[in-house]
Amino acid sequence: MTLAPDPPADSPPQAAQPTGASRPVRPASWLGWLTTTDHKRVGLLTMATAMVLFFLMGVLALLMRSQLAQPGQNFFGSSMYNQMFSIHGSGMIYMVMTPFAIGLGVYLVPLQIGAPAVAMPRATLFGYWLYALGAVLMLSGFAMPTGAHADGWFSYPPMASSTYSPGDGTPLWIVGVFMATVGALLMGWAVLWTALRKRARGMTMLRMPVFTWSMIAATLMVIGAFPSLLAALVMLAVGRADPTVFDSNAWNIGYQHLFWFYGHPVVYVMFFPYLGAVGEVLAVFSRRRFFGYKGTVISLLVFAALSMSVWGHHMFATGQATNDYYSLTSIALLVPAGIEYFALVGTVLGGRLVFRTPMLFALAFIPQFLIGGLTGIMVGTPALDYHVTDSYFIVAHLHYVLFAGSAFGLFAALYFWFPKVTGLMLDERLGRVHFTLMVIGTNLTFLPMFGLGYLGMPRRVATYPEWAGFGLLNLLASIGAGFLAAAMIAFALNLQQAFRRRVPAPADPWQGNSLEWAAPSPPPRYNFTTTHPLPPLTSNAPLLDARMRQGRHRAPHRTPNGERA
Amino acid sequence: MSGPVPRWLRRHPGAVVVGGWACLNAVLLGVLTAYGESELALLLWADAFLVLVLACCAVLVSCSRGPLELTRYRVPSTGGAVVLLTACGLAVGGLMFVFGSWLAALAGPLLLVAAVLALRRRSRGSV
Amino acid sequence: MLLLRRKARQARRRERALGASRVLDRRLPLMEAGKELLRKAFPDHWSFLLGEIALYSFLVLVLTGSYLTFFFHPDMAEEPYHGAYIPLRGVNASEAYASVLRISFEIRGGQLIRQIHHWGALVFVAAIGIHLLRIFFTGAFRRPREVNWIIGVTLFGLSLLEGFAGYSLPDDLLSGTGLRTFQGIMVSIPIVGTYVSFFVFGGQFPGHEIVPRLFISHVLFIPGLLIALITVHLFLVVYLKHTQWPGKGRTNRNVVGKPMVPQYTAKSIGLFLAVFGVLTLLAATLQINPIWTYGPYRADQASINSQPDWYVGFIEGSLRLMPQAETRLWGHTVVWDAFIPGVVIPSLLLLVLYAYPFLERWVTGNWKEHHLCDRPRDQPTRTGLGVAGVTTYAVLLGAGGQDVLSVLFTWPIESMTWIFRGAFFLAPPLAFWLTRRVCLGLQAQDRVRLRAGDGTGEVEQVAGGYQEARTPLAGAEQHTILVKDVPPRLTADEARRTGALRRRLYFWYYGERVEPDRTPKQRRVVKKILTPPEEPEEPGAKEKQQAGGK
Repeated sequence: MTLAPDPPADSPPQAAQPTGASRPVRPASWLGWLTTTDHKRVGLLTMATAMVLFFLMGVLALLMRSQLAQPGQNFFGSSMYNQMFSIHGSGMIYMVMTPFAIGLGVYLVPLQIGAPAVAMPRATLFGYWLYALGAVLMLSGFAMPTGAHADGWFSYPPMASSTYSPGDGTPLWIVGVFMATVGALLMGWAVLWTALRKRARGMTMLRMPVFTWSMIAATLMVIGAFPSLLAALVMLAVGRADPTVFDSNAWNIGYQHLFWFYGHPVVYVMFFPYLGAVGEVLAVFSRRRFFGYKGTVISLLVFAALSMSVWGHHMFATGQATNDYYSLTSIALLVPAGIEYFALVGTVLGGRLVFRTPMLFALAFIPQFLIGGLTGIMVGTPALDYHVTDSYFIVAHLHYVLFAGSAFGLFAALYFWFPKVTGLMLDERLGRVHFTLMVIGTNLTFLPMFGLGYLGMPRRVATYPEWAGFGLLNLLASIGAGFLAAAMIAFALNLQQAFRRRVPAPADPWQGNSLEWAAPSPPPRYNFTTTHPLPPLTSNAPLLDARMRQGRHRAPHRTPNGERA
Repeated sequence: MSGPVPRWLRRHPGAVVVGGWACLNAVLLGVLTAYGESELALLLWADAFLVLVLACCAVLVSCSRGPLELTRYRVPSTGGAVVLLTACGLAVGGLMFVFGSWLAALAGPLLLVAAVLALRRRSRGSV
Repeated sequence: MLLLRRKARQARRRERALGASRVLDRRLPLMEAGKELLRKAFPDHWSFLLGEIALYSFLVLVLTGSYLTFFFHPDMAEEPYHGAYIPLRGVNASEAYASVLRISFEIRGGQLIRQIHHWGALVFVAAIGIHLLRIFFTGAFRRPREVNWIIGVTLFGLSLLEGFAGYSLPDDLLSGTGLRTFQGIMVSIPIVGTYVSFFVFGGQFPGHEIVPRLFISHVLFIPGLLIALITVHLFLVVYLKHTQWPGKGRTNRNVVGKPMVPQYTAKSIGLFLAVFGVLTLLAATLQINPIWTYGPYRADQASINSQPDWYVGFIEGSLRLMPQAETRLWGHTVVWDAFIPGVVIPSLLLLVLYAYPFLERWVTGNWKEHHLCDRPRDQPTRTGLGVAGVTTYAVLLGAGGQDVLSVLFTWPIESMTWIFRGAFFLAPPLAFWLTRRVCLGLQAQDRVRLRAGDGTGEVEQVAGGYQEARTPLAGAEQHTILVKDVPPRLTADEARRTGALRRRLYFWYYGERVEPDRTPKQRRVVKKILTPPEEPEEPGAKEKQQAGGK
């Protein structure tokens, strides 16, 4: 008696046939998401987790700003305030901006190079889970009686030792950040390998879009720099077991070297992917291909290499690093940064602009990042840094590059690729509301902080006295924070209405340049199908080429060289 | 870039990039040494350089062993449950550093179940 | 020439053996037993060995326990200790305690045997528990095995009692604290509580009677009951035949497996030796119950971090979670906060276990005989209920150690208690819902795999798009997915007759199912496989038989 396999019926699969009330059961729905090997789902999981944490860390920031709005306030107590800024910083850097950037790469790079999947799907999923569980561990410090880690996101010893940071918060932070970093390493390696070794036929290195090149540069820095953080965390862990390790200065300054060797490249890991996204958005909404492609590619790689040599500029004030050298290399970063910057500007200048929400965020990125970058050059000069280091000037600088810069790039990317990822359109009006509130909020919050730092307000203080004269600027900053909260609410509302109204998005709503716009929205399991096939891979903007061949592309105007843009 | 691409650049672009990067690093390291930075900083640089060299070698070896651009891919589609269980087991194992080694009693079974699932999958011969 | 001689030798040996067996057969039912048992088929699967692990650990317990009875003195008379353990010299200790110390420190092999015995008890109850879960999740408690299930649950309860009695025999501080808890629970029984307590303890707590009484229960009464029930349990397994997983050639009407002699016997003996070996290894390397560090029992002393052995931990947990609750009725105090967790909850647990096969049968209307095991995913509600039950048990077990956890996580013990209280009510429904969704998802996945085959992971570019090559499932795999128990239909007539409650429960139980796509031929074959022994194989065959007979 056998159940010989009969030829499969051609009928479509029927829903569940229960003997009672029925709801069709889709195979492996939420469990399928948690154990998926589809790079798009892993990328989405990473980005969604990062967005949730973004909101949580933002709440921490709002709480801090509410305390700092007026002098002499102490709603939370110093210990709690220390935990808040430490977890806000750690969360944003280790658990939001870096993973979101890598997750964006996990999602987009295979699509942009015409591959059906990422290089090592299970390792990528493993990386995601290490990151997610690491974030949970780090945040669970708040549930401990002594509270979460309170020594700041760089956690210098000897304050991070068990003598000065007793309790379970710091060990939980160490283990959580370690796991999240290993996860980021795994995902970063997978993205790098995909871009280098899994390109489709016809996709040469110099036909890859700018975003993919920015991911390559970012993941190269991940591989070069993240192990240094792991070493630094191991050192902290050893110090937790034996605090006398930090009695010698060599280990204290050694920790700073180990930490900042990671700590500087990571800010570029948190910058390049968003820069790449902004480049894509600017090109598409300027109706042309990206200006200065080859120069940008080279400068991305040079920037990545050079960024590994500047870490000592975080240690100017210790007097134990060779300030001249680090200042030289830090200022030298202007060169590749400038090339990329001019490429962005050149793309806009030669284009026929379309002002949709992604473009608004991308355009705002340009001046805001300039402020952040130039103030970075300012503090790259030791003499200036002696005055403003560990003050609100630095806070303003880092928030300008990471928030006014990278986060604007994040939202540009989000609004740009949302239709592709979900198959739904976001609301344009709510998008503009979000944008306006965010521009006002960002500049109102962080611009006064330059003044505060110059006037001498140190960073990481729970409160400040009346007579110091910091009141007005702090009040402005806190009002700005309120605007930012409103902006985030507008964004959340926009997401919610998109999933409720379900306006379907076509495969190519923006007339994009790169390959992901040739796939359906959302892309199926292996990205490209016979009904939505890979177009001919003719350049770094194959869809633009196809439109031009079909005569559907209206060239903006002729550039000074007489070339058609 | 304007002008024709030189032949050596066209034939071994990967080697050129890696070589160029190595040279840049050598220059920077030399300058750093000249400025008199501490041993630890130089060691840090050398180790990171080594890691990246290994990564580059892996890429170059893989390039020489297969086509540069592909039409056929191997995409493992199963094994997600093993990954999830392993990650949870390692997370509980990481907690051992915080709460003590008794957590091995929780981490051990999780990792064991993951290992059993992985071995069963391999013995059944699925991808 | 040599060959002839060998054949002659073999023939002579056969003659002698036959003669010997004839001698025995005249006096014992040798041939009948042999005919029944020698080639009895036992299905082969690792999950069928769990009950044997319990059986063999019981055997080890009997062997080691017998050795211990030679040296244990169940006497509670106290006198100063003057044995080999120096730190306790001069301390007043009961004869029972002193004799266990003598076993541990002075009797050759005593400590090892004692530790094998204690580890054996821990493994015994664990193995029964896991075996019970296997029977539950594969539906092997259904007709005709309900009586065996009842015997099994009784064995489970008896094993708890036996273990409790056993570790209370040495009369040390830790187990004495447990006895005090036991007495407190007894006293909390309304009306008869104090009488029961005085009866069991022969007076006030602790008295001098309890250890001798526990001893005779532990050595004679309960083991006797256990051996008798185990014998009936095994007899029923042999008589009713063991369940089997569906597979090629296996139906609801036959048993396919390895013969008793030699394969099954060899495997079984091997398992016994393995269990014995593992228990000895555990005993030799991991210390258990070091009563000399606890000291003899003093009724006025009790230390924190006092937990009973793991199998009674769930009662400890219920006691710790129960908030204070007492009422005074007509001059008598009813101590709800010991009665409910100590008596009501364990009784409810046992009651639910006993009643489950009958409850499920009533809800599902599935009255047929079942000899094929269910895959847990094919019965989402039952599996969900089982997992919810295990979760409740686990929460209570964890709550039993809430003081240890509080120190480990440096959380206040009150928070710990409230967390466990919340978990007791929230975790089981959550676990039920989660498990049901997982089972249904797995069923849906099976259906897709059956229809489309397994992915090979080889993705190729075809006309600009990517496609994955898929292999159809192997025959054995298809069989596993296609052959699953079909729920009995609720006919309109029956729906009218049964009550609203039963109808609602029926639809809740079978509410969501994912049936694989079966061709008509497959449906017929599956029906044939699932036909129970008491029904004719083809419909109308019985009538045909009768007609033919006439």
